[in-house]
Amino acid sequence: MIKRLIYGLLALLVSAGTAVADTATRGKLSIWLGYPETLDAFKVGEQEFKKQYPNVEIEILTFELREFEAKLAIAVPTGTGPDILVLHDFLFPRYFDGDALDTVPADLTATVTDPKIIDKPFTDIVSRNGKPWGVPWWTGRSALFYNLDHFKEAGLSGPPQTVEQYWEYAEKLTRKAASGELTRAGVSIRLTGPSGGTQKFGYLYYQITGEQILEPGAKPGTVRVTINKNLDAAAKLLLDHATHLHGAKKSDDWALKHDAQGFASGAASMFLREAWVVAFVKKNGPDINFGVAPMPRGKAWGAFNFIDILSVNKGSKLKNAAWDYVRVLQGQKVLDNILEVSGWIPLRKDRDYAAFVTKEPRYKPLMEIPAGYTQYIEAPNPAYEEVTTRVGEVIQNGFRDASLLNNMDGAKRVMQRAHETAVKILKDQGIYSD
Amino acid sequence: MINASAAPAAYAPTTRSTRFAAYLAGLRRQHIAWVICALGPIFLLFVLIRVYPILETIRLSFFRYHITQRNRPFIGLDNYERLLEDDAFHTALWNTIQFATLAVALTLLLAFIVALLLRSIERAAPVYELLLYVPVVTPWVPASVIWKWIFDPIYGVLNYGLSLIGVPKLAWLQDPNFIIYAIVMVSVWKLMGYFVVVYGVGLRNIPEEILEAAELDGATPWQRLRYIILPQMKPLILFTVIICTIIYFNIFTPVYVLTASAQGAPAYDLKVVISEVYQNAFVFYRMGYAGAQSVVLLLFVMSLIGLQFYLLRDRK
Amino acid sequence: MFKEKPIIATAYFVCTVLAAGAVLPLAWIMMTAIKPAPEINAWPPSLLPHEPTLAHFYKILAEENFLRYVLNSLVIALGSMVSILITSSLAGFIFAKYRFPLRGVLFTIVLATAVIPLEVYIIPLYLMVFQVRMLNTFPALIFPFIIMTFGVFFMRQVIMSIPDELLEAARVDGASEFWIYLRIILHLSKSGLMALGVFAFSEAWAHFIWPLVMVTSKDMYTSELGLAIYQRQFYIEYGPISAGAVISIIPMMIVFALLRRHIMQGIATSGLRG
Repeated sequence: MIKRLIYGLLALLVSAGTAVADTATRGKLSIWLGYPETLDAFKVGEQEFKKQYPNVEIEILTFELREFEAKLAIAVPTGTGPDILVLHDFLFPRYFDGDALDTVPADLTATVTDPKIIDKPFTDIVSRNGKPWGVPWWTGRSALFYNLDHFKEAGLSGPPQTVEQYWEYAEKLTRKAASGELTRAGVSIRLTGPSGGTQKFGYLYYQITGEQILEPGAKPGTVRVTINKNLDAAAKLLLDHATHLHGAKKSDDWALKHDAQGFASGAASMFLREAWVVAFVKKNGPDINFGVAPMPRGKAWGAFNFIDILSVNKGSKLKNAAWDYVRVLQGQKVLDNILEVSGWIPLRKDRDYAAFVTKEPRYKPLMEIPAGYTQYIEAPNPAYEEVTTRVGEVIQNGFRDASLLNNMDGAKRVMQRAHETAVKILKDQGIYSD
Repeated sequence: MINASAAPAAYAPTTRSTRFAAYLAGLRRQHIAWVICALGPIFLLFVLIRVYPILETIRLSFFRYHITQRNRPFIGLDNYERLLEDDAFHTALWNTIQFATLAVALTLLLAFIVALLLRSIERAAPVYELLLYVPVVTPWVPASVIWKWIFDPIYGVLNYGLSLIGVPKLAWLQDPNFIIYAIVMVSVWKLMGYFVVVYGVGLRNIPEEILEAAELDGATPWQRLRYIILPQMKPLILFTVIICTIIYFNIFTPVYVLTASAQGAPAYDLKVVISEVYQNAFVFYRMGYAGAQSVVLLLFVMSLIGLQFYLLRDRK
Repeated sequence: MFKEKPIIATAYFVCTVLAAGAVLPLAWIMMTAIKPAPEINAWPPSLLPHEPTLAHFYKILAEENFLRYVLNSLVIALGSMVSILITSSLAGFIFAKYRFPLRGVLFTIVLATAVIPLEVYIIPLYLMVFQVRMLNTFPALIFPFIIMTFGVFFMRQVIMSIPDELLEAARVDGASEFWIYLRIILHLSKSGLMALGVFAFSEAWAHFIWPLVMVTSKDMYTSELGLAIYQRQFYIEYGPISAGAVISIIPMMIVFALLRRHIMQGIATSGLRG
């Protein structure tokens, strides 16, 4: 009896260090979000969570993506970050490398590694050394958004099926004032914001080349650049952009409202973006009658996915509570809210979204994947932001260069420069692969 | 920098042959204990809050300091070598130089002209100075919000005004050819008022008798400006040029807020040095490299100030 | 200075145009804040609203706890201002009125720190605050703004214009140096202090990168931070953003309106002789 008691005490003491911290049921659980529109889903989860942890206070701060990244960068390495790290796939490697992530509990590991629940590419993106370090939560899947009224007016019966049609339709949809000034963009091209620019340019680049600009290299963790290999196609794509930004076929202009904002205000007829646009346009442009279509086809046909991941900060004092919150966030109600309010697409396949798709059929092309429509993700690497920013600067400067019109050699030079820019950064980070 | 050479002459040592005892007595006369007690803590604060972090930044510039990585090796001058071939940084530096030159020149020239003109309408001057000072106390973020709205390519009142004289709609904040002027415009608007007041002070200190005497001697307004006012104002002009140079080389907030792109994230369509530093540090997580960029900026601005001193020094 | 008629006429014209240019953008945003949404995007734009409304103010105050942010900003700006007034006047006094070894060196060091902005060395500062476990507190938010290089320089200029004879006379009467500082220096540099106070207040008020990295809870947001974040989220609706901008400008304008005479006079007494 006494022996047992001593063993028990010893065991208690040994585990004290971690146990005290891990099983804490009071305190403040902090969460920072770089996508403020998902706040609502966390609030839905909070009610559920509070039943288990009435004494844990939840504090969620929302920032815009850049500010969120800056805050994380400063706080996490010093151990002052939030308890739950809501990371995008391109931020994830940085915090894994920085040893900031807690081990995923067994039940959640089982969920994440079950291909019936989460598709393998998404599991892979959070896995290192054979196990997951976070729970893939939702995806920002790319699609084509088009204004039905504008299409009707231009005599177009449906969305463009191919990349050629995409440009052709853009010309037909463009409207000009008598002075020649554009009043409506046939297509809203991503003209500013270089990292997003590379991404959107990359959407079409994938269709016409079958590859992303950055692809995983031979050795794990390395990255190769594909532009030079696909130089003709890449230069042609840049020329297509130049053709539709300058001269007679001009279909977009810097002075117009752009992106979701332009689309929601009727200043653009179509554009390539991600799932969230549906919810955004419904809220900000309720009069816009629009449709959603899969990406236009080229040599390949696929949709880009960028993943939001739930991890727990290794330095958290409320790890158990944090993981329980992550569990709550897997619930049907929360995932419904993600779809409904923020428009992002939950990754769990073992939940039922049929009711939602019936209610909002525009989600069909985003959620019911047709055969042959590849779902691809960015090769995860810690230099992602820097490469996309710098490459995007080269490409977007190319957009502005009217001398590129019908100038294949010039376009090739620009794309070669983009290639070299990417190579230089990857080499500097020691992750370049031939 | 602006150093103690401007101290009142009364404090110059009276004799060259100061002995140690006299030196001690001098210290006592100058209340050295009081100086230490009063200045010491404040100076320590400067060391803690300014000098140390700056030195630390300089030190980090010799390391490969990736913010989320534990391993932070010493790499000597590698960061500086990288700077030599970093086009983005060169663009940023060149933009900043262009921006600062234009903004300093416009701000100070306009401020000087206004201050000069106000001296001819001295009765109304306080009202004008007050109105011109309003932007100075407007914080940068709301100021940038205001101008973003004015520069809006579609609904902006600036493009509306220009359309009245037949200018087509311009993408002030999206077109790299215009954005620098847009930010110069905002900066001049924001800071001119301060320098109007400062120049006003200097101009009021010029004895009216000298000007009247010159007028009686038949000096034209231009001659009075060229030979009396400008020489008198020279030290003040030097001071304002330096202050203004520092402010404009460090420009960041308006660039950050004004160039937020459609998605909301800053597009950095106008690269300036501090936005490059910020981006490298907090977006690319390259702290050491950002440190090297700051050191270059520091050296650059310091030598510029040195040059300004040399060019505008009193040649007595 | 110039009594020529054409110059006087030019003066009125130029100054009126520029003064209008200075104030109109603020008037424009205030008008935008009280215009109903359709009028904001009306073309051609009109300065005055046809049907003024406070809806945008209600909206932003309901969505964001803006009043709390303004209150936080006030606490930070006031704390910073008081501290800068004390440190700057004391240091300025010492640099202006005493001779001591290394004076030039120390003064140069103080001035040199102004060449680099806070954004550059924010990480070492953050680590300092973190090591004393003070994140997300008012002292931490004020910390980098308790001293000001320009303030030291400015107060030195102001205090240099105070005649030495006054100090000597006090000393003959047996006054201590501290008494001189308290009773003579502070008293005679009142306008300078006010001018600096407004400047320091607006500087601390305007910062947003530091609060961004410092706060970990929403109730510590400052009005600048709140506005900077808000304006990113609602980029379609200019009404509520304008209302937010107006809310964050108003306290500054009140301070300015109350102290305007002292500010101008204060800058004047500084003489600003390099």
